[in-house]
Amino acid sequence: MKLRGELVASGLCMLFGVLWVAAALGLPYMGEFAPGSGFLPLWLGACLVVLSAVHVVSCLRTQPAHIPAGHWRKVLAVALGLIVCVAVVGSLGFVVAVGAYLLFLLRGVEKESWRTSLGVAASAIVVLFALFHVWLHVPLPTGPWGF
Amino acid sequence: MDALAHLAQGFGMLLQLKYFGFCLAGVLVGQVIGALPGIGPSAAIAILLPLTFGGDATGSIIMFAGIYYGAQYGGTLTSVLVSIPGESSTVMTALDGYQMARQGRAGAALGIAAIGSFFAGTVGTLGLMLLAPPLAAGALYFGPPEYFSLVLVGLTALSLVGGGLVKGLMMGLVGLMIATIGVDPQVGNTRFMFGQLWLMDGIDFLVLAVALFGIGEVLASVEQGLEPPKVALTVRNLMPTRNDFIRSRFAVLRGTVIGFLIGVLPGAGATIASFIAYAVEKKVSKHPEEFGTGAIEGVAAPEAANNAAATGAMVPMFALGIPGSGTTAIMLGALIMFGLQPGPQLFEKNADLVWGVIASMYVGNVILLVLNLPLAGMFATLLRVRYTLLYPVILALCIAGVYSQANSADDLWVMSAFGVIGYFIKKYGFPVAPLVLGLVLEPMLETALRQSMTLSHGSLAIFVTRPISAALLVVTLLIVTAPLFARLFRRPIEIH
Repeated sequence: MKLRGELVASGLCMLFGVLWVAAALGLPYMGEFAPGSGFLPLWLGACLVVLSAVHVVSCLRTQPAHIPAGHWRKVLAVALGLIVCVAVVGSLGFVVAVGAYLLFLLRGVEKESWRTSLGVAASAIVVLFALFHVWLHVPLPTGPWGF
Repeated sequence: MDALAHLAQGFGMLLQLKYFGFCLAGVLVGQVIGALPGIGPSAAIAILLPLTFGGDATGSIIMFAGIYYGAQYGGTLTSVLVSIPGESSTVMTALDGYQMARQGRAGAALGIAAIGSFFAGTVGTLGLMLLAPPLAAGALYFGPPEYFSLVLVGLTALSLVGGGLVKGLMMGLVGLMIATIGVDPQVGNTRFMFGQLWLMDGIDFLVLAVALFGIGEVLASVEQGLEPPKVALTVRNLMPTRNDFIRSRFAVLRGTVIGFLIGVLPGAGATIASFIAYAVEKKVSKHPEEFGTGAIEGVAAPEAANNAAATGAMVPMFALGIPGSGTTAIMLGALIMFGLQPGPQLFEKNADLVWGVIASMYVGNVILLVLNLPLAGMFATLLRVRYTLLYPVILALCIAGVYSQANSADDLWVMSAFGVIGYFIKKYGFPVAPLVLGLVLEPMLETALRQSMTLSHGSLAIFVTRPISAALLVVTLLIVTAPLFARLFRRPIEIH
């Protein structure tokens, strides 16, 4: 499990490096005397490719320790909830979108009681809204209802 | 004498309610997040960055510094009372601290930790005050080649900590590469935008810091499922006995010196300092067999060391603009965010800020001592806060903070994406700190590289023909090769 993950992570890093090398090749390498825009990124990308390869080899040689499976369903729920929240926060406003996300996390994911969930969600939203909107005067996204 | 005059000026600033308030808020937040599960000083500073955006730079850095050393006090509580270190830098404290608590001596353990931390924090600040200005003055003679090599030392040294050198270097490179996205400030053309106009300004440091340290950290902790610890112990008799003092006085002193020196070194922060201080104490003790069963020196030394190291780590950050730890990397990013130029000029151009922060550290340590001796029992109730109630609020704060700094929904998408990436980075044991440091230091690295090669008419030889630059490159080479040599003889030990 961990080995596969490490290999995938190294593979992605390698891909990132290759992408940078490829894009840097399209940029000027040297100016008059000083390095151009492509100089440093090209070398950074190349180093990342080499290091990723080194890491892949060392992973295959020394089996990484197994990590026990955690609550991955919870992680998925929290992350998906965040993505949905970010998608709707512009149209529904901070109070409704983030409030609903908090309730989803507290009640839906963590199975807290309705009382605790509502209490924590409401107080967090009120404090954050007061802090950012009222005190610091920085606008948070508002919905059609003005908050 | 110059330093004393500046320090007096710094204390003068602290007399203003505003700056005293920042200091108090910082150490309080540090104390609280040190004790709370699943959130450390790096995450706290990252999450608070948006709140300080556009505000008072000096006040914000005073607060961030307070969070850093305050967290070292707070983390002690969980280590001693429930044997669950709130911070990685208090892991060693748990060994003897928890045993002392089980013997009904939690108060003495917390008391000596607070007193040792106070001593170490104060002496460490004195060290910072004496060491940083001459270091900065010396570094003023650094030219671009020296700076280029210095950044390489900083990046490789920080890569050593965490999941291993290769992983650290990979993350450092990723950070450097991300920083190249957008307009190349020296030439004016754009790069690595892949047709996405919103990438013109690059990836914002603040968004990335909140994503990796806030969202990524939360997702990783949710996966582990942090259970609330059972705190059945009560805290009383916080004053250590006369015998305790006699036993721990040299431990505190040694911990302070070791901690400060290790903190000053780039890459090694409070965690490693506490490990080494504990090991040294056990080595020099007449009763090494007592370690692990409730020896008070085993609490005093690592606690003094982690506080002294947190202070020592600020020496390279202020004097050279090269952070010595993950947390100071974020503080350096904050300095840049406030439009300041970190590096040796900071002592000249922003003397108010530097000396205000140094003065605040003396004051902050006094506040923490006063808070901790009588109120440790009260802070212990924080340990009962359930992480399941805490993390949704942290996520909401991340969303509000990131949106508010540019009123941009794009930033929220970047935050979510890097949050998920941050989770995988943590899950597979890659360190986050080098990535952030790479992102922060890339402009300095590239500018220095260009200026150096302009000086040398395009030759790379300039980096090895100038003695200081060459020496720094040798250090970089040693850092990179040392673990390879060590590996030939033994299997690597991973410190998380």
